[in-house]
Amino acid sequence: MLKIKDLVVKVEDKEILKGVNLEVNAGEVHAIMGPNGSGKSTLANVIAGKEGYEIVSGEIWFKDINLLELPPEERARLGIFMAFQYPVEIPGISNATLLKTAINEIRKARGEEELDAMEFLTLMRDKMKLLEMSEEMLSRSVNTGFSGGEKKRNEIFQMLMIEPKLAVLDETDSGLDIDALKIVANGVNLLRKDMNDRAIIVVTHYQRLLNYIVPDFVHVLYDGRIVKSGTKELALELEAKGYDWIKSEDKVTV
Amino acid sequence: MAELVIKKNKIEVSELYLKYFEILEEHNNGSIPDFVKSIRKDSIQKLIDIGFPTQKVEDWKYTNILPIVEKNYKLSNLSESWKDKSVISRAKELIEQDKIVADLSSNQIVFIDGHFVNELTRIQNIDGIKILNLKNAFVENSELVFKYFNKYNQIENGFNALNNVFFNDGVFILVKDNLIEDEPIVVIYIQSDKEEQLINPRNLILIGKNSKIRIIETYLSLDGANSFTNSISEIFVAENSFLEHYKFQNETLSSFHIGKIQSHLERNSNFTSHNVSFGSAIGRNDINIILDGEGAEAHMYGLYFAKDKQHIDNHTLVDHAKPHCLSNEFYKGILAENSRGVFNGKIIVRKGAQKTNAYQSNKNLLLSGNAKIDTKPQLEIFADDVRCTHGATVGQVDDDSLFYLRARGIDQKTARSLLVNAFANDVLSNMAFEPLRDNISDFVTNQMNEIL
Repeated sequence: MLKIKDLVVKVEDKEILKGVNLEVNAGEVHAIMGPNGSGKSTLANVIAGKEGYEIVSGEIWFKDINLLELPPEERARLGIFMAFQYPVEIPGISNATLLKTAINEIRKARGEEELDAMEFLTLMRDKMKLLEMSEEMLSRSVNTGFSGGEKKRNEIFQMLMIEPKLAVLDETDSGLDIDALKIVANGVNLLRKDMNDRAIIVVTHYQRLLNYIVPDFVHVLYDGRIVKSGTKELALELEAKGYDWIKSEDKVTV
Repeated sequence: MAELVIKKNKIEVSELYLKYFEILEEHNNGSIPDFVKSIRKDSIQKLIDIGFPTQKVEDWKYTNILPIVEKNYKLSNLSESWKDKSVISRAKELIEQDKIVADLSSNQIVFIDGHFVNELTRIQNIDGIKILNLKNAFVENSELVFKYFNKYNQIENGFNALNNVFFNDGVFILVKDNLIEDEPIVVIYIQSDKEEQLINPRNLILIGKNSKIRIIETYLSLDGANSFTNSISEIFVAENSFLEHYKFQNETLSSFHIGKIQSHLERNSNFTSHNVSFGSAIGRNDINIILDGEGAEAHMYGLYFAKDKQHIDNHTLVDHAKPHCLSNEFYKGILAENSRGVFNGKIIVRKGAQKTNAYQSNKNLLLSGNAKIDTKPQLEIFADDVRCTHGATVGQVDDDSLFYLRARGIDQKTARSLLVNAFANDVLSNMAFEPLRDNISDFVTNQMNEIL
């Protein structure tokens, strides 16, 4: 589903990703772990199409489509969704307006009919219930005045509404207490019920989220490269030994 | 174009206006009250003395009015364009189809090129409210008009004098005591596309005690209009009354607009002014409010959206003359393409006006590298127990917000339009009259689609 080949990315003349290779197939959940500054968020942002990153070399393919040639909205319409590490507050645009516009733009691009107001409202109510969100949230401005936990929950809510093919969760666990973490993980696992044409990438610093969203594969990103890949046991090993273990090992191999 | 004599602080008035004054003197004698004749006489002298302001005059520092005054307008008082059948039918069509003003109210009074047009006017009979044109009010309500007309309207510049001299007609609204009415009174001014005219609307609005009313002044044009509207509205709000006043200006981009609102507030009255400017090549609003009784409140909301080479200038003045008053001002500007905006918010707190609360905020969104805003607060505080805050911001569409929306599948153009609309709605949300608020909000979205 997603193929990243030798991806080298610079931000303001500094090389952040130094040759990333990753292949994610339909049905799989991948976790990308790594210490601060290793390039995790850069990788997520580059997949989503954020500007301000210089792609020095490499390729990103999504179902045989060259992603790097597409603006973010077209990637979203193909089915790529990034849950933001820092969801943006947008005063004056309600959550309902954002979602209605987004979903209808995506449906239009796919040649599907737009949802009418009633269908849309019903769908929103159903999904909100699953995430234990109150309905008044719909008329509130996007993320405006939300707590950290509410923002993250709102990202997952949007994800469930949009039902992406490839979901990239960028540090969705950061700043969450254990109860919020469980709700968020529960949301992700709902998406996971149907993985027929779907994959999920969980970017995280800590292992604890992976107790609730159990990955099929774990990769360790360090200093702009994936230095280790394995199964879910790798996350536990990292948790036990800390990132210094990778750093020292990295030095040995150099 | 006129040959103008330009000195340091003034642009001399052209001969044409003196000639027009003579013609009016001959024509009008008898039909207007003596006190108005003497206002005219004083004002023409004042006009000759002060001329029109150059940019050396502080209040006009950022606004060059030369393009306005160098034209040889036909004086609308002497024009018959408003009687033209095709003009009237197109004005009717405009009113019925305009995205902002159509169907706002069952009370509308219409002027074309400053002349009252009875056949487009429809006014419901409401006990306690009188709506008529000023010319008739001179006859029917002569005492009240005499008492209030031109009472606080200082001649601050040549344009004010020009209106005093040449005003032809306008609306007179009288709301008696103890009257609450939700249905707004809509005043519609339309510039025709006949001749380049100088039009001087003159409005007088008197609100009695314990009343509550909504008034909407709109300034529109037929396509192709090249005229200059120079309006003055005088507003008096008596004790305990609420006035919600909306001014909406959307004249053509080849016309000029200078408008002054002079309002006087008595004890515990509440005046909310919404001032929306989309039109005219050069547009200038002066909104002056005198808080002249304890407990009076003034709320000023403004939205200006300029594109092309438009220049929109908003000057507001709140005069806290008495203690325990509140003024709250919130103006937002959207400047696209090569447009330019000016905001100047002046707050005066008189000696003895203790416990004054005065708030002011001006926020601007520049949609292009060539757009520009000059924003300035101006505080003159002579009391010591005062709470006064002000702030101004200038920014662009936020990149992070833009990316967030695009990452959800919304194309760049729609995303920008949503964000600009949100910026505008932040101030429009203060409009209590929803039909107008929604129309203006939709209009902002449409404007965005044309620009980007």
